[in-house]
Amino acid sequence: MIPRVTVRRLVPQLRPGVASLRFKTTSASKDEIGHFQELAPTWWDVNGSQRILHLMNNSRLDFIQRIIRQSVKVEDPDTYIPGFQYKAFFPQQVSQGIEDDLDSKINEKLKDAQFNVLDIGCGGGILAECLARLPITRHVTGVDLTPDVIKVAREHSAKDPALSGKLEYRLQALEEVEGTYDLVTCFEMLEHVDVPAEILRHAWMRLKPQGILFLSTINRDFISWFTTIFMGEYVLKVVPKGTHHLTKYIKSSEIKEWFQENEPHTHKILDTKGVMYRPFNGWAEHDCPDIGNYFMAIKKLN
Amino acid sequence: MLARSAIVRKYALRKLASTATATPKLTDVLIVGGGPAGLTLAAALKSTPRLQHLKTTLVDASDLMGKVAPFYDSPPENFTNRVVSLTPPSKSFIETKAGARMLEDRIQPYDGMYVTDGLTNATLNMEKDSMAYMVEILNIQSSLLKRLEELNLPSESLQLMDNTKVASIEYSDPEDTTSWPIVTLDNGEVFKTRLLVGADGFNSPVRKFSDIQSRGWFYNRFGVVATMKLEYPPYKLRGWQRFLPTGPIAHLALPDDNATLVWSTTEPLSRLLREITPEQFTGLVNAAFVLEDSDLKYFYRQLEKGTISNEKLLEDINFRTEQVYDSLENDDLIDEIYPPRVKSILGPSRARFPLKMFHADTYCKDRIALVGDAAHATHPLAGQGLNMGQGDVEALIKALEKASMRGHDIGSLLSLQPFWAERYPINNMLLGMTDKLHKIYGTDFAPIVALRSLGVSIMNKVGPLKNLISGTLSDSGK
Amino acid sequence: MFKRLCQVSLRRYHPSKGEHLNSSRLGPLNYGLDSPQYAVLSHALKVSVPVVGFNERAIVHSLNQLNYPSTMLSVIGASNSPSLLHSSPAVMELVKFHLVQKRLQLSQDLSSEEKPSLEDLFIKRLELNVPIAGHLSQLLSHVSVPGPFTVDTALPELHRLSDDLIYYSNEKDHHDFAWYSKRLGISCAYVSSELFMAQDKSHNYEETFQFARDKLQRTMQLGEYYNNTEEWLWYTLLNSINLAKSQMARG
Repeated sequence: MIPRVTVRRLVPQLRPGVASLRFKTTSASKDEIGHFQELAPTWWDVNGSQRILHLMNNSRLDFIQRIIRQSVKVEDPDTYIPGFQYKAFFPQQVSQGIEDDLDSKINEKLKDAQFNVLDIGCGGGILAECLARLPITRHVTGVDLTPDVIKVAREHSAKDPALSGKLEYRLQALEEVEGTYDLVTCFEMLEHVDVPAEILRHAWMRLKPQGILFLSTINRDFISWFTTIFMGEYVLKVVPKGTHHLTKYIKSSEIKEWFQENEPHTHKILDTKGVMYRPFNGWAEHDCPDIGNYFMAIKKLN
Repeated sequence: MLARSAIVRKYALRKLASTATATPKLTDVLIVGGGPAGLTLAAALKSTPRLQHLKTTLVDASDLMGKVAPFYDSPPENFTNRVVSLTPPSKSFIETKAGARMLEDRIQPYDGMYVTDGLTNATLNMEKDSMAYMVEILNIQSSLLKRLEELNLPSESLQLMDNTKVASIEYSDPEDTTSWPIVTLDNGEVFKTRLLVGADGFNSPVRKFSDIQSRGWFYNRFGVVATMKLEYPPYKLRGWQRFLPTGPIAHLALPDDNATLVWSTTEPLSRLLREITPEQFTGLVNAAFVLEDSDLKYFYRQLEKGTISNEKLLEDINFRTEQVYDSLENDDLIDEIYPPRVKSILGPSRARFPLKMFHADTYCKDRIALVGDAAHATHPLAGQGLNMGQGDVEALIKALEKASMRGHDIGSLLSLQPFWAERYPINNMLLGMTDKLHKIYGTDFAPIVALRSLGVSIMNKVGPLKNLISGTLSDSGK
Repeated sequence: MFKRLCQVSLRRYHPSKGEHLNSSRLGPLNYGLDSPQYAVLSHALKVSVPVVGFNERAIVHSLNQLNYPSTMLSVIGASNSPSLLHSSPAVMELVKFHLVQKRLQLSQDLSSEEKPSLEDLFIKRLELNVPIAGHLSQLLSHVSVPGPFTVDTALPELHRLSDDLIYYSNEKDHHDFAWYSKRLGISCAYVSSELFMAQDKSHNYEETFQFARDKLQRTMQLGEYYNNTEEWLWYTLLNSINLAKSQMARG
């Protein structure tokens, strides 16, 4: 059952019958799977073709951690909770002390959290491995449809003994995933599938109440084409050619509309941030999520 | 003393307990080298909330527990000869991030540098309160060891292995340079480490294993160090440096009537300075800050030929010094422009070492990081060597903290690159500046001498420029 | 001109063992040790030149002494094309013989165990000039007249001398750009020493040898500066690349 939506990109006109017979609705197209198959060997070469993705991963992790930490309320009367712009009023050492104090209090609260995480479109496991190493996660499940990248992900994670028992990869379509998770992540994945709405629907189904869905993709506009395809793939060549297709990009407003229509009272958008790549400086967040790449965090309400 | 034997026993037992096994022990950070950089790194790792969980192993060839650690609880009366200049950021890093408390009564802050040109007497007088601190290396090392002892960590959190050398290093998968290095020690123990840190000095075995090139040159000059007793405690607490054509000589204050000397000079002269009697050496040090270069050359020649007696030399130096004093406008200037006179030097405190400038191409590879002298070596004239190492450790800790917070593998290149990116330009600048100073002052070529003296005179008069330089020296380029 | 330069370069530019080990051959001279030319010219150099100088009279004198017909004078100079400015092809052959023979003599009685210093060898070559020192200015004017002889013979011979001085001494040899500058420096030092010698009136040419030592030392010092500068430039270049790389690692 495909929910009725007004947004064309999320639910493109499929030839009736064909898609549902030959492919899972949440799967990526054959071309996409083949493309990532080719990238598999260099997935973990941080100076290679995937460097820009590795760098973006830093921003993703910062974003995820910030959202999670913001959702923790410190109510301990002993902890001083500073007001706005406290850094400007206190000497550096004092504000550092306040920060460290707050930080350790939040850590304490989070220590018991022990999230179960589902990483959809895990690829070589760049995000999944990092999530699994965080002290706040109990277990991470990564799913992907490209056999070679799953193999790469498994081989790479086997090298780090700290990951054993905390991380599992499955070559599996999203709709076959069972159980529910505290956090579901879906980064740089929606722009590679034919029916993004199906991904959203299934991802949402896998989320526990009070859980958070993190996703990221690229706005469908001229600037995205110019930065991610023209500059990224053809001029600077920092992204492998054929990684992106403008028509598959999704505007951040389209995601919001989808949630408005399908989950009107059960979701809360915690934050939406634009991110941009600055040559020689890595990725940076900005407050204009309607342009280029963006991250989004959506909480599932009861 | 009790505490010391307890700690010795603790570590000795640990060593006995862990006999060689076929399967390597896993560790997160293996630090090779227990010098100031290596120990600061270990203490900072164990004092940083986000990094405390990392299993840390430190290996050092010397007798840290027997020879270095006791310094803290029972320091010798006299000052030791390995003294360094510690800048305020380095000192505060050791104290706040690594949590060590150095023996304050053996630290001497100084409020400026008085730099003169041995050929023209052009002068640069930099003044800045607590510009830097003169500290014995043993003070730094032993306070860090004390800190580690006080943390009272179980051996699975921190293992300190002194009297131990690295026998070999190899990748666990020889085909894969991102695989964890396996480090075999000469006591038979084998470690497999997530991150291997080379804090192992100029001839770093870790750097050799990593195949990172280090480029630079030997200066064909040697540094002679000594600990000195002064005739009277200094009137002004500052560093004195005089650039002689053979190299700079520096007189740096220690508490009370103590001071330390770093005399950079040519190879034959450095040998001469080691061989002459302590009285002759004392005389020459006093002469080197006051007399003309031609006078000094005369004394060197006499001493080389052995044609001058102790008494004659000292008498001659005194006579010529009095002549210079007499030519001054008033006697107050003596204390203003010359360092306090040296009464004697501590017998066995003279040592010499070759001076060089080297810089590694990079400080990190997958699973490997280089800090301190393993990554760079510099001429001591600007007092930056140890501080550069402290800066490296601070940046490495920062990078590891960030990586750990994000859940990265702290041994991966991606985690280490920010450390390199932060430190390379700063170290490069400090190395270049020191090298250029050495080159500019290493000549007696008249036009350059005239130019440098002109430059120094201008600099001495232009406040902001002078502050910039003293600021750079005092902040280690930050 | 270009063809001549090519001929000059027939000798390999970088020092090779084979070249020096074959030195029993007489190098660019095209007659052997047992030829009449060799007999006449070596006699002339040893006996006649110190008396009468580098001119036809010296050769004729030796021809007479050795009972050769004086018409052989034209045979001796046959390999040299006559030139407007040079008086006689035979005299030019004598000069060439002098240059080659003294150079070869330098390496003859060297002990194989310990190599002499560059300075010792340099002085030794100057000492070989002592018998003909009175006629040095004449010799120098012969070799320095601009023309084919200078380009074809005198200059290459000078550089061969510098090459041999380095090869047979304990001086470190280079196989890079420093090779050219070092030889050029030594050649210049040698020529100026010879010029000095030509004017020197001091006892046993003491002043010449002192001058030569100073000159050589200055040249080598200059070489050291050059090497340091080169080293520094390389370091700076590679360092700049590393600096750029370290900053690229940020993004």
